[in-house]
Amino acid sequence: MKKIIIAAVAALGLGITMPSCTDLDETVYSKISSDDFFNNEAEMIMSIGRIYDYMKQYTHYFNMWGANEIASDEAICPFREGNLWWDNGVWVDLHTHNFYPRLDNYSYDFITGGISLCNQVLAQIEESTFDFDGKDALVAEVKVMRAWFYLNGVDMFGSIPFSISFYDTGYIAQKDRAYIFNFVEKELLENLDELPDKFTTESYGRPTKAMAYTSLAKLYINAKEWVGKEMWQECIDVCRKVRGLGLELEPDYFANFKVDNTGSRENIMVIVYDNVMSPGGWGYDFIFHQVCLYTQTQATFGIVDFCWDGFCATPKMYSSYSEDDVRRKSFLEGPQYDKSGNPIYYQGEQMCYTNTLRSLYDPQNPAGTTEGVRLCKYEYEDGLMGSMSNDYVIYRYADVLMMEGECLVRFGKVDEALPLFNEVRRRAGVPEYTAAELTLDEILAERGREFAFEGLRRQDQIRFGTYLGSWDFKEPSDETRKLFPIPSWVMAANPTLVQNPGY
Amino acid sequence: MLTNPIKLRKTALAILPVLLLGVTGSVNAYASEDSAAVVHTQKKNTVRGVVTGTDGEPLIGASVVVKDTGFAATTDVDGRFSVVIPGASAVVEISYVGYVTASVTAKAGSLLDVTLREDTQLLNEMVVIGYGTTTKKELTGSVASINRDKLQDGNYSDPIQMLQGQVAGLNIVRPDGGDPTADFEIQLRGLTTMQGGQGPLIVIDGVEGGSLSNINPNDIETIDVLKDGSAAAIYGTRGTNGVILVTTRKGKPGTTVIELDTYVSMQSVSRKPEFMSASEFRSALEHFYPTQAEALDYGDNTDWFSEATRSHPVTQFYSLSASGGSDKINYRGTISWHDNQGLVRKSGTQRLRMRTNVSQKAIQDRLQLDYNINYSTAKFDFPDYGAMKQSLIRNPTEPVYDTEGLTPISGGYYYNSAPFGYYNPVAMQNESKNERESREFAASVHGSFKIIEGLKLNATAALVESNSRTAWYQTRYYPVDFGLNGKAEVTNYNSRSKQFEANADFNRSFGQHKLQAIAGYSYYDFMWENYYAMNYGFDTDRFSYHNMSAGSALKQGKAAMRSNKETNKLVSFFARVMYNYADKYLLSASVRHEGSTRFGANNKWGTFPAVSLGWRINQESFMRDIRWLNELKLRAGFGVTGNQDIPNYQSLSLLSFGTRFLYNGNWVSTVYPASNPNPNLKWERKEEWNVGLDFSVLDNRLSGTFDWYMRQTNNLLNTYSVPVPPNVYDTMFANVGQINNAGIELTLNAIPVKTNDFSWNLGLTLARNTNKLASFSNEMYEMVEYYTGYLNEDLKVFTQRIVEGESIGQFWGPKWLGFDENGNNIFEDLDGDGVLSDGDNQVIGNAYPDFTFSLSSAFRYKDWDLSFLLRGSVGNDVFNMTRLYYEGPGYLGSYNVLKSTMDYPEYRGSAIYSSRYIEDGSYLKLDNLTVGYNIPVRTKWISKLRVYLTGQNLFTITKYKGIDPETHLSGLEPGIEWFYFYPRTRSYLLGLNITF
Repeated sequence: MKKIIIAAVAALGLGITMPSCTDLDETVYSKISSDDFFNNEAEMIMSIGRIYDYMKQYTHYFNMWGANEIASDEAICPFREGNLWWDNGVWVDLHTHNFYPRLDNYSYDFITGGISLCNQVLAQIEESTFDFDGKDALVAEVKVMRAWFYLNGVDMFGSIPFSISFYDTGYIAQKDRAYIFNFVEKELLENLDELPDKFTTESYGRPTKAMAYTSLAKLYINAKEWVGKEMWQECIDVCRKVRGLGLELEPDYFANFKVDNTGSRENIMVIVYDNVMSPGGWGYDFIFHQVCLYTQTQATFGIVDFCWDGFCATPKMYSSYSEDDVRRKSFLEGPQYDKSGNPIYYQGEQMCYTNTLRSLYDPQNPAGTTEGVRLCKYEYEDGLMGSMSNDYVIYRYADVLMMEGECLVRFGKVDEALPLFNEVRRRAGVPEYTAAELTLDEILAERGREFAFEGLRRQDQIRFGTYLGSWDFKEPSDETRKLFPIPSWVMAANPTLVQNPGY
Repeated sequence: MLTNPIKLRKTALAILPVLLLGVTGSVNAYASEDSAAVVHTQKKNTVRGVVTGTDGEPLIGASVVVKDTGFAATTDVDGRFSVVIPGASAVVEISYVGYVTASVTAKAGSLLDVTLREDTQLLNEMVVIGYGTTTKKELTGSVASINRDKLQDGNYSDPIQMLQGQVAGLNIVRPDGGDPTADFEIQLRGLTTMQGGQGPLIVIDGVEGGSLSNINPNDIETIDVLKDGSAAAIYGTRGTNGVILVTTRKGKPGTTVIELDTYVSMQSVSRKPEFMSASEFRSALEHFYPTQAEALDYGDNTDWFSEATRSHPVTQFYSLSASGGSDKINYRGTISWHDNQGLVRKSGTQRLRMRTNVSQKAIQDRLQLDYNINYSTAKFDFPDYGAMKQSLIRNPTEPVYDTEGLTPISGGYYYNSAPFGYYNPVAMQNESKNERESREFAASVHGSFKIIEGLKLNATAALVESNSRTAWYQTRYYPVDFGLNGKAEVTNYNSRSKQFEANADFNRSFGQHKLQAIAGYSYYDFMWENYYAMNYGFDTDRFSYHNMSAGSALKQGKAAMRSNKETNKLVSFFARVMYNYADKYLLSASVRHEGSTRFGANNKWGTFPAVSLGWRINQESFMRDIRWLNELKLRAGFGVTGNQDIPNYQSLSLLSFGTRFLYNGNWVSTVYPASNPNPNLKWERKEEWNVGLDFSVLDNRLSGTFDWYMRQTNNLLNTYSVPVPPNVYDTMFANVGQINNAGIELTLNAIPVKTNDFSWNLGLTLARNTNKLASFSNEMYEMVEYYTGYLNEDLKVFTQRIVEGESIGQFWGPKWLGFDENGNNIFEDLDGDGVLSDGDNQVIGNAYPDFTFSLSSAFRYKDWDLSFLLRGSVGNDVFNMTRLYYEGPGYLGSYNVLKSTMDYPEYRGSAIYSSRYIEDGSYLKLDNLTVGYNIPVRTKWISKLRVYLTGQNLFTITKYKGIDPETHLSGLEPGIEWFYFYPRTRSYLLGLNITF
């Protein structure tokens, strides 16, 4: 009997002492523990890729592109019949400049998140113990991207929290607009030497000298508005540096926006999208087709995705194109046909996009389904499903030419500016300017036509002083609207922040 | 005798309940005569006697019946009786409620001395408490024990449904209506966690990790629910939401018994949202949008709901079981087949379940071995909830089919591409399939070895393996994605759980002291993995999903492939001591020391103690004389349990591969952090106090339990936003907050009538729980408010708000006051700014009920039985989402809307979330009504033949205007009736049980 007890207890005891019986370490199969990573060049590069993946959020309609477009006078997203696009009023508020901290838009998070991401990647590179040839170039690349995020922060929000180290803890303090402006300038100038000149197969989609100079040009040309200092000459100098890098205007305006626009000699900075190799998912996909088109336009291009009938050009904007302007074809207007040339029908008649709008928000009389002309500047691929594969253009050479020209006109040197503008005008198929025609008002209008829906209009309107005026369904707005408010969820998380005036 | 004051009291107390309950037996004229006076002279052909209980006390009012005659009597205050018998001798039956009936052959003129034994089944009923059993008498925790006799007949897609309304405080809800493929939500005593798993631990025959849906309802012997902390603490990190212990039926030594159970059941729809018919639609258009009325009238008359559903789906169930064997080895095997067809077309389940239990004794009966082997397979056809929504909103004037061939792309179904998110539901159902085949194999061996008297060594080894293949295929004509040309998705899932437990079990009595103790070790290991593949662009639909490589998307690089694998382990040591002094004072104390791989490196192990006390007051000498009191026990307990039902790997710092980016002309993967490290991650810890009173009076004719509890969950896990930097990832899963629940539960059982021919049992449960989120911030992590219940379609608002200091499940929005003279909405302007803004939001309802209750009743008359179960809830609010979107002209035209839109012909506004759509969801449901008849059989082949008729979900009394006020109660968004729905159904069932 005793033996049985001893045997039983021994068995139990033996079982318990076996290590597997009390070992509680986790085995991970489908992810990687970060302790084992970032030990060689390839892994460093994989880390940097996060920044370019992150950039894909820029074009989302609740992010940077959406805010900049609807707040300007070129785009509008009306409340449409069928109860579409109410979204708690965000499109009405953006259009009428009725901004408030709870506004449903993520531009601020995009900018500060991008800065933080760059800080994090920099920390990873700087901490890694091994060295390799391209390390300095990688560091420069990340710093330039960070400066570009700060540039957007200065433009849209003015003073934002400033940090250049991943290890800053506690509540990050804001710095004022001027301070960040100077930082951006310094950072770009110090780091652009390591970068390649312009896009090549190796450098496509990533920062180049051309991109850094263009960013500086944006900084200088808006300096009067942002920091009260006129820096037109500095802008001209930087633009000339870009002109020495071998970029040219594409003879076909739309070549810059094709599905495969990697070969464009005009694009300076792009966000790379690819439907197959890097599909993003919600918030990271390039979906202008869904945001702008009415779904029956699927038949025109062979698009598979259902389209949501949202953004369209304001009637004022589209009317500014003359009949023979090549760029007018950036928009779908008039009777619509499918791929084989047959008319598309809507409610019994041929479907027609009209350059009219009944209302911005009126539940009794909502905007019609086919009212407003729709963007088709970016080529829509046959069989398009998910993200568009076109690379979204942030900066291109035509802008450099026109910025240099604008600064020259501001100095009164209209004759020097004419050839720059006329190069762009010729490409667009419209008559060239004479010296008398080239006024600042005309420059604003031409920029509107050239860069329609490219996210630049709001910045231009502020610079030229028309942003606070009135246009389709918008009343004049207050000076404080030149800056967006810092979002309420950010203010709640960081009590040291000071909100922009007027909010 | 009447001069004795003690007896006087006894008399009064004894006669009173007798009069109240009307215990009759067969009282006849003789009785009154006999009870009033002692018979001094002996009559011929009479039988006299005294009836006492085992304690020697006379039983007053016991029934004495001479069998097969009309002669009867009842005992008097001294327990004496006198009854006439025909002839020289007769069989006399003496019975008394709560006692075992005695049958005596008596000769005329004899004097009988009858002692009746207490029918102590009630008190000696065994209750399973986790790693052992105890009697109801000795129980100190809060445990509800349901025997299979109390389970109602019916058609159940999951046996857990049989527990609805049976246990106070246990709420079992199926939010998805009559969907046979849908799961039940189980909540015990309120919401105790925000991010942890909310279901109780289910243990089947001592094995954790099997699924209750794989059990044949006929195989269940008892279900014991460990409700409070002191009872569930023995299960450590998994006991927080309660433990449901299922014991299956085992073999009985003796002759082989074969049971056949079968039923057929038919369903019909009980309630669905009332959208407009074609003519109502036309007149609504004329009223609201007269200019468009003609363009939107397609001329037909379609009842889309009928097109998408079966009118009377039929379900069948067959179960065959055999049990028998000897004392040394006995067995029970069952096999069953269940074909459960759903109301929505192409929805249903088919299940085959097989189970074998074998019990064996060896080594001079010292060793007992039990083997359980089960294998079950199931086939599911999942309904398309999106198609059901489409069937409601679709224009009733549209035809189902495209008879004129206007749109060849749509494959013969009528296609209208104009409205947003609008698809032909018949096409959706016909041109797709969503199916799963799954199988589960569970085997366990239990060994129990008696070392010496009172000391046993037990060990269990169990293995549960399950795998499933889920597949989706849509043909080229599936209306949501024309142009895809067929898409197939297949997921294969495997899981395996291994369990090993060993414990030593000591049980000994020493005079007045009784001691039970166990100490043991448990090991549990779980692994799951899955593989997923997707492809589209099939040139033909013939392959369905059986030829994945044939899709063109694969060549274009657009097909998808994924796989994952995870494992986790649980190791624990536990011990429990139960001490019983004189059946009067009871003590139970347990502790479990458990470690889980899921927690952070600093907190892998935890200790979960519990203690509970019981005092059987009726055993005290000062209570002895209260004859009508059978049992009065006061219980108090305290226990600590944990919750480890969180995802794996949360404490680690992990990286994930993301999409690719272009570098040097090549597409390179990106790598980014997927989580922040949290080495301090630990389990949520729930402390619970429970005080209970068990009572039984009037000879166990009325018994019940009352419990009061208070539970506090600390270290509440939640995902907090953290700044990046200094963190690498923007959220942190951390232990921060606290949730409190408190409430009361009452269970009553009454037997108002019990005679030989007729009996009536009544049961009542009542429960009330109040919930409060005491905190969810601390110095490190802050969250002020948390919004849930997001309306993603168009409105983009949250419907509920969770805030510190308040209950979860609160609806948050503007308060609707009515209509103004123009028919527009008026809202309460709380912040006084004249417009509808966020400042006007307030608490407009709460999804949790004030109390829930159930009433069950069982009548038996000779061979007939009738039982019903009523279940209800009072004070729960429900958000009727269908009315918010579709009661109004906003979507009218593109979509169909609710008939009730025409109740407000002046309202022309758009949909705005407010208290207008928060309705009182209090309800009373007749869950089950069963009538059965035991056909008397004269043959030796059949020992029992019962036929029965059951109606389920027969009616619901409620003011709620939607489909069913019984919505989600679990989770952070309770009380919302989403418009993706499955209709509620009523079933009618005819069943047969035969025992050979």
